[in-house]
Amino acid sequence: MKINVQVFAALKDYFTPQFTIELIDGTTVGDVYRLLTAEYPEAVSILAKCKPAVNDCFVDKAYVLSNDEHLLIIPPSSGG
Amino acid sequence: MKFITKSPIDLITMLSEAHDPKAGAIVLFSGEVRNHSHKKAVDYLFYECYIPMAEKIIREIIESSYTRFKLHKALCCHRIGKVGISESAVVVITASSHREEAYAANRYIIDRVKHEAPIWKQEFFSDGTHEWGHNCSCHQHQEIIQ
Repeated sequence: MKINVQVFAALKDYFTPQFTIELIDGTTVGDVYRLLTAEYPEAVSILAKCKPAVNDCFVDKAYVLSNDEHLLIIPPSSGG
Repeated sequence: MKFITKSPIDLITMLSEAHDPKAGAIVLFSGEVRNHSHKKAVDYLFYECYIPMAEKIIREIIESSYTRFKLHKALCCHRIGKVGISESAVVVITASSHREEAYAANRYIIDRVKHEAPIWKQEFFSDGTHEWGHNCSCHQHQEIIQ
């Protein structure tokens, strides 16, 4: 299956803002975090602080992804 | 009203929307861009935002403020993109019968917006460097009010 991933702010220092990844069925959000950490170990500390969201709703890392879903990896807010 | 804007926030216009005949107190908070940070001169800030979720979250925070406090009006607008020194980055206005509720609600809204809305600040310094902002410092207050 294919998942669309979007990252923001400091994560863009490591990853392209939006990309698609091929995953096997049953892949969780936590699995994607592990894949991204393996690709860019330097990003591990910021990834650990990020909250995942799917289709604009926050989810936990045990969430099982489905084909064509839009995974957002959201760093800690720093607005204001 | 718009919760997110790419245009300068007009404080006077926004304040004029907050008047209510039942309100004896209106509190306006304007978070403005200062010219220094981390002991360095700042040229401007740039705010990145994931608009669909930011609008939804700010709307939920405003709705929650009406439940928690005796408010007649609650408004919030966050600017995104490039914001210059002394310009408003975020404005919260609360109107209540009495000042205690207006102050408390205003603090509640701004703290939650800073902590929860997917908006990220990047500081551009006069020495040519830039840096993503760190997480807001309102955790302690959040723990008190939750």
